[in-house]
Amino acid sequence: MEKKHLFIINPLSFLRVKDINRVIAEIISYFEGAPQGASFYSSDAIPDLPDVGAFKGPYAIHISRFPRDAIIIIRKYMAVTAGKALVRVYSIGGDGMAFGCLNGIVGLPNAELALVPYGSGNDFARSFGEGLVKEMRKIEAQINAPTVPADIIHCGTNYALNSCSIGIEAVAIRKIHKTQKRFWKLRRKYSFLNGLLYTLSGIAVAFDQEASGQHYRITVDDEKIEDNLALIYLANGRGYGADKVVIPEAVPDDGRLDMLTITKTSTLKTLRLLPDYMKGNYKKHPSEMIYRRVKGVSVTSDTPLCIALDGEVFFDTSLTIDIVPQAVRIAAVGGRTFQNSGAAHGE
Amino acid sequence: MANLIIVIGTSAYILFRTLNTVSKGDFQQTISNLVVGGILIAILLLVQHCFNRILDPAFYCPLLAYAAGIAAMAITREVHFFFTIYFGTCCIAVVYNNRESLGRYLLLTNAVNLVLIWFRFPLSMPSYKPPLSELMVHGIVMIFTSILLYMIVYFITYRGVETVRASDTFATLMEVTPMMIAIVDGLNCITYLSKTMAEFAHIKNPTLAVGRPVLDLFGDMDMKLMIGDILDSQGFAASVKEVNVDGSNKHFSITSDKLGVDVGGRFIYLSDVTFIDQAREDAEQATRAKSLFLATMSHEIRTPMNAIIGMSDLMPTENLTTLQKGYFEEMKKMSRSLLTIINDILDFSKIEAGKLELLPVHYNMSALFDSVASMCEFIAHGKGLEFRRNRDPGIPEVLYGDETRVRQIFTNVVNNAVKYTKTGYVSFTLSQGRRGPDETEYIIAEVADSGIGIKEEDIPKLFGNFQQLDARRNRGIVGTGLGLAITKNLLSLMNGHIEVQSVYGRGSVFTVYLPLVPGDPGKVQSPEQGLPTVVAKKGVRALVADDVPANLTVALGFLTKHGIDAETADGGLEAVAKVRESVESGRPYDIVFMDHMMPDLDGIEAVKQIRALAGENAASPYAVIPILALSANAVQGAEELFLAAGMNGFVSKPIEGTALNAALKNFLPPEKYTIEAKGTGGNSGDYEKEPAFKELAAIPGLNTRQGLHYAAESFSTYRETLKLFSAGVDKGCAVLRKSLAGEDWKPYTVQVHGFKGVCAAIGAASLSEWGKRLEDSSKSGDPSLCREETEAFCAALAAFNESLQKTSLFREEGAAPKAGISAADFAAKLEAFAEVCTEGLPARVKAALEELEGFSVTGLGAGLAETLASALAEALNLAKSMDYDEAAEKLREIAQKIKAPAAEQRR
Repeated sequence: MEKKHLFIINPLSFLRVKDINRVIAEIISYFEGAPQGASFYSSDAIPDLPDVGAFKGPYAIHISRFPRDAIIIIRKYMAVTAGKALVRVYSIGGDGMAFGCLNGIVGLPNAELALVPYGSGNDFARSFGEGLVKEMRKIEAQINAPTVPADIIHCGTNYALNSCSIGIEAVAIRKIHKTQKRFWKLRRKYSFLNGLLYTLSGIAVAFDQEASGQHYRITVDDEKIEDNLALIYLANGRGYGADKVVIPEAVPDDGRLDMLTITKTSTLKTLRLLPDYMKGNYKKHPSEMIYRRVKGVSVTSDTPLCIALDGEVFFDTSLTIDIVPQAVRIAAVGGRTFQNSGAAHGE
Repeated sequence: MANLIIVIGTSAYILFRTLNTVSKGDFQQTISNLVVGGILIAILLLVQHCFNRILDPAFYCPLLAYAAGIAAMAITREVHFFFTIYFGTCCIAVVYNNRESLGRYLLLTNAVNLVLIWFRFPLSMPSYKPPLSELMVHGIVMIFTSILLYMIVYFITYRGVETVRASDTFATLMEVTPMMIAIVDGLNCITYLSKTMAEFAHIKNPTLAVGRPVLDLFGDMDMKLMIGDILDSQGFAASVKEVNVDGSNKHFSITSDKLGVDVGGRFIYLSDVTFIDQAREDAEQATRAKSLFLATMSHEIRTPMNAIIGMSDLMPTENLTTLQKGYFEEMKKMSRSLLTIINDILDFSKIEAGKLELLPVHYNMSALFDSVASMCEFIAHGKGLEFRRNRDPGIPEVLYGDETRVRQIFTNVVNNAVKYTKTGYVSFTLSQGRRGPDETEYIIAEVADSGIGIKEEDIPKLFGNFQQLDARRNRGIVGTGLGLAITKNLLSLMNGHIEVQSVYGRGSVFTVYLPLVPGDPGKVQSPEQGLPTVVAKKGVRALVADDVPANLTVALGFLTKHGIDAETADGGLEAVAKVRESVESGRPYDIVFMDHMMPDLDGIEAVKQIRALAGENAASPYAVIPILALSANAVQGAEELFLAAGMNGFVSKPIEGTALNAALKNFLPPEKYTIEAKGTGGNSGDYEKEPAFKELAAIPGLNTRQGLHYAAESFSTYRETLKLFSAGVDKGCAVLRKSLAGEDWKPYTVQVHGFKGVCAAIGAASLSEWGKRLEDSSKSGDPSLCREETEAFCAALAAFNESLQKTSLFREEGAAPKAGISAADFAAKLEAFAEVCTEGLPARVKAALEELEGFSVTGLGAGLAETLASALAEALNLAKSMDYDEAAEKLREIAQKIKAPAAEQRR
């Protein structure tokens, strides 16, 4: 079957237009030769790319204009191929772009996903191992990479690659998102600001009694739980918050969700739990942090649920989350597999 | 917050004062300032804490701060302009808490200030009198500051009130509107969501969606794609799409546009139009049902109506009483009116349903004009009206348009004029001209009459549906009131229009404007042209039975074009005999055409006898041979009569080539013919070169084009038909007179029926119509019209015949030299010719006749020559009239007479 390559770039993942053009140049150089790509290297303007749906031979480049437009773009390009070509979608950006691309290819048998991490977090990419960002940014490596099947999280009407959290973490992310548009350049330039912002936001939310002690009714596979919880975290991948790990055992091809819940405690106790939480040391607090491996979870609450799916915040009043085993194929640069794939989990 | 401002302001003031004294090195004063300031702040905080719930903190705290400031000045014995800034800070505090209090606060503080200035700061310590100038400046600055602050605050609060009001209104609107609206920012993230939209997206609280990408609203991919398409657009965009939402297919209308430059973002309006789509589908279904109704009703209503009208035409009324005949005539009249009404209603329904489609063709406008004028002239003359017609010769002969509908328009308008005119005239004029701002060229048909006219106030209602004006006066004039409405609608479809001018009681002028679209004369199709044509294979046998030789000539002419060399029979009896002979010889006819009204045995009886010969054997040739009625009577519904008698079908006279073609296709065995693409249309146009044609075209009352049409466009056939008609006029009129004298209506009817048919066939429409009236009269049992008009009819026929005979068609052309032949040889030729006549094949008869006429007999005595010449002429005429049996008999007699003198001589 013919193979096509669709590159979707999130311009907000790049500080300068030149950086975007460098990536475009790399793509064009691969497919058309170095001289054709060279003209983009020093350009200060985003190039005028062909209309959506028009593959230029084996590839197409599209620059995302707004959140989730990757879904529309992918569907349009896939309609053009009419199922006669295998299309590899390259998500060039961060977790948000990967989220959009994933939701665009779900359900399409002739589509696969390649993650080219240019974001601040790149959490799912870390499932292949740490320190691989530079390697994964190489276009040629991504084009030639074989694919591995990966599970995805089905949450309500959306799909996520890495994680789904409900509770204080989602609330904290939501607080940060309000400043996101204003200070995104500063945050991109000084990545430590992200961590600082998240920490401050987490501290502030810890004091929010409503968020940190919301009452949930949860059905975990066949088990029913009803309790006040600060946080429900479901992981497909192990990566979290750029350099953190919540559940180190989480592997995206085991057909299971790794679930961690934090029960409601006092504000100070919650604040004390957070560092261990973010380092993956949940086992140190077995009474407050409860770990499970599940296939599916349904969550309801009397107050709206604040949910973060791969960093994208949603609200709902009831939710069903389940794992869809091997639902997508992800390009694995260097022929790697997921870390800890096949390893025993601590239950 | 306000209190914090005051505390901070007070602290800043004290700090300033302290620094001031420290800079001056006045440490005592410094400590004094600090103590006083500290006490002041403590008092402020205490008062705020204690009186917060009792007194309006928005007002009294700043007032207290102001008083504290004054006290501070008095204690410290210094009026300082920093106080103005401190004062401003207090004002801000007032505004922050309650902007309504600012006015009161400013008034009070400035009043106190003025008192202090007037009384030179009476609260100051003894011996401290601040200079008046300082106080005045301080006071003026405070007043100025007050006014400035008030104006600023007023302006801001005014804007703020408006903004809040607008914001509140918008929020309420988004809460209560039934419309599904989403407002998004530049990144297509939601800023506002109407409650209805939130409910549709299964979101309980619309505010929870704020900040989310709008594409996250719906999980259905169809909805995402629909919204995504809209977001791609730059400005206004709207579309209707079918999407699958929550498992069911629905239609949504989505509209979006950018908001103002200042606001940014765009709005998205979503509307469930499934009901509209359902309504559209319902409407389409209704239209389909209506179309089916129209098609079904058109056939179902017209068929029995045609049968009623046709059978009433055919029904004998001799045995009815006068009263019964009267009722019967009225019934016939009303049934025709009913059919017209039904046709009008069905046409109108078609127009209303938008199902009326124009079928433009290249057509002959002059022929159409003549046709309509002739028909309406006949009706007008029937009412005793003068009918005037005039056509501008400059109008192109051939136009492009829907000929049928143009004819309908002209007929409607002219018929209306005739209908509503009791005395005087109706004129129908065709011209061309330019009208309108764009100078469009029109065909202008003007119909004027001296009729009853139309009241001015009624003219606007004229083209309304079911409108009949002046009902009282027009009682008795039958009509649906749809004719002009239909006319107007048809004209609208053609981009034409109609105008009316009228004087009540004096007459009206209707002017029809049709856009002039010249046609291509080469593309004017007679119906036969271009149609797939039946061409019979060799050996096909056909029989045509008709008592009128001209009709036989026409029928044979048509059949020749299909490759059929048909035999003839001059009556029902001969037809039955020939059919029997053909079956017994093992070569039955492949098809028989049988006229209805024939003197000896009419067509219906003949068919019954033929079918009876089959007995019980349904497979017998007598039972299966296709016999088609060939009759001028069966225009409406008599077909059922023929079918009931055992005939298989019907071809009306005058013969239309398409109808004959269809009949051959339907009834000839398929293995006996082939289909060819080209039409049977003759060499139309070639006859115009014939000198005789122009002479014929000039004869009044003769429509040569029509006659040629009925002669399959063959001028030779047409010529023959005219000659036969001419040869039969005197004899036919003699029959009429004789029958009239003897009140013998059966032969009268047959003869006048024959005249009717042949006049129609040669294009003498007026004579044909006259013949029809006489035929109807003779059949109705009230032959008064026959008694009154037969002589005039015969005189008209004679005059017409005289005109024909004056043309070069009937003049002897320079005779070709005849070959000499002996009497004996000529007798042998005559006998051979008699044999050919007996065979009955017209083509062979014609060839033999032509050969015979090329001889000149020698060796005959003068007396014999003269006797035989007249007998021979009679025999040859019989042959030409296809009376082959009599001709053969005569010819044998003549041959015997020629041989007899020769035998005597030999003896």
